[in-house]
Amino acid sequence: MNPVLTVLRKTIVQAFYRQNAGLLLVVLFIAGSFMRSTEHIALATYAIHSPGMLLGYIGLWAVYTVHATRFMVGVFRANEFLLLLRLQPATNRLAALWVSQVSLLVPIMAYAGFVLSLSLQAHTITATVMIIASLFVLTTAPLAWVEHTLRHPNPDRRLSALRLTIQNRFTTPYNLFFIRHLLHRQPVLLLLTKGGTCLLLMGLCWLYPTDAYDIRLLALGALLTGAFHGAVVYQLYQFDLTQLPLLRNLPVPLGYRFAQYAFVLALLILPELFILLRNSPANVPLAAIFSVWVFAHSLLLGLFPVLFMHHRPPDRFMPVVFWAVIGFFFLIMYRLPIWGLALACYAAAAGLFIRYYYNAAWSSGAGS
Amino acid sequence: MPPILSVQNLNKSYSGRLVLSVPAIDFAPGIHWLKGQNGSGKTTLFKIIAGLLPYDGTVLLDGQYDLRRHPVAYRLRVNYGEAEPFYPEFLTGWELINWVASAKQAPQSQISELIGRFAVADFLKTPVGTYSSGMLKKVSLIMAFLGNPRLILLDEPLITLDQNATHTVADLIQTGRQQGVNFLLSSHQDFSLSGLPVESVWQVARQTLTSVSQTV
Repeated sequence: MNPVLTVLRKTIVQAFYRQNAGLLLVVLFIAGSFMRSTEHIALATYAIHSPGMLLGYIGLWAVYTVHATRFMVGVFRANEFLLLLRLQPATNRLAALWVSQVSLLVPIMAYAGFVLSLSLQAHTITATVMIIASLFVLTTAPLAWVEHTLRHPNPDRRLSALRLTIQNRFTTPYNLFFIRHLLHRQPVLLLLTKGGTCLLLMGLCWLYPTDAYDIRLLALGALLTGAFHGAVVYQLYQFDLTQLPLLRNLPVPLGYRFAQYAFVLALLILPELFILLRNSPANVPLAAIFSVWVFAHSLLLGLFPVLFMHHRPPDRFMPVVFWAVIGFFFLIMYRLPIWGLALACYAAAAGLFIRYYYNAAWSSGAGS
Repeated sequence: MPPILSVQNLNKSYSGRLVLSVPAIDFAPGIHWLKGQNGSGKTTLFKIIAGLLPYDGTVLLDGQYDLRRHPVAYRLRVNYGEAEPFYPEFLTGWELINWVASAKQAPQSQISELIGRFAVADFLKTPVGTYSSGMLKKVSLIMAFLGNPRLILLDEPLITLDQNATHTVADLIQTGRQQGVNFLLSSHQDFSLSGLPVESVWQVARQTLTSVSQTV
């Protein structure tokens, strides 16, 4: 294989999919759990007959493309040896970058191909042209951004006056390091996870009064909230071990460390608490609503120390999340009290944390 | 003289492959220089002693603080300066130093003094993503000297540093030693030329650690 393509595949394409395995699995999980294949076909069929809806699809593909291209540009900035690509003849360079870009866009191209096939079958010319044109633009236009990065290595990074003032006056407490990391490096994952779980809980709160549902409906919402946050929990694990390894050298008691993680995860799912409180069904007591949120929090905290037992790449962590969901689904359906489930989760989390915290080690060969 | 650090039956493997096996080693108080080829296991040994990596065996500080049984007391007394420091790029050097200083119970006067000695005040409140490797190294070294440690592990402390900073590190080690701080240094550079009173030289090779000489 062309050595340039090999280097780009290993440094950009494989690294991208390793880093975003959690995000992609969350998307697959959401899509697979809520909709059957007939509903996917119905939705796509509606989109090819509605330019507005199709533009919404293309907008989402564009967001993904920006996310992927931003990653590629970041790799070029972080690995200066890759700037040697600039010495390749323009045709070879652009061809290699295009192949890399297409490789990064495989998930949306697969879905766009599915919509395109429906469009061709339905002879909807406008939709067909829009899909083909958008794919052409999404695979070629970002190359200008990448090419600009190659031509302007190490740009001056000027901070805004406001940011400088904030940095001079305030110091980020440790408890906010990870949330800043998510906002800075994984905004798409954060947006998707928070958007998905908040909409889910809001929908369940609205659904609740329409039939003879009980608190188990909201508990199932909490269970899915915990599951959707699996990729975020993995990010916390990865962030601590790869970017703050010094954390384990600090003289901090295990109990305090556990409390800090509990606080960080509580902050992360605070929006869900507001959603639950704001949309809580009239006949559900406040304590029950709170128990639902506490259960979601305990699930996040319970998943986290599982990662310390032995290193798992994201794709091997998601089956753990899946089986936890299956197990808790039955426990909820058997009417076990939500507070009890949450307490059991907290106890398991604390036990695993104390037993395995110092056992955790990142294995770069198994995932990035 | 009782050892400052005792390592017993230490074994470390990655994916079933043994990378380090140290049956029994005692480090006397003083400055120790660990040599070894790239990939020989020096950094792994340092990370184990710093409490960053899981391991089999026993690591004992001052004959009383076991890394497993006294995780807080041990870590309060053992500091670590990484060979190639890597931090979240959005944090500032100031935020990192304050975070570590607070955990290591370092007084504000010590922070200010170290910042002055390494001459990093000008860029300390900008994100570390904008730092050169030398600037990152200085931040890492400042954090390694914070608090009141008994043992400081410095992995390749001189790489990427300018001449002034190199002298600062040598001065800090010298002063620290006079105050009873002990050092494990790993470097490809010859410390015997720096005038530091190196107690002994050790070789990390063939997955183990052996003494090369006493008092160079």
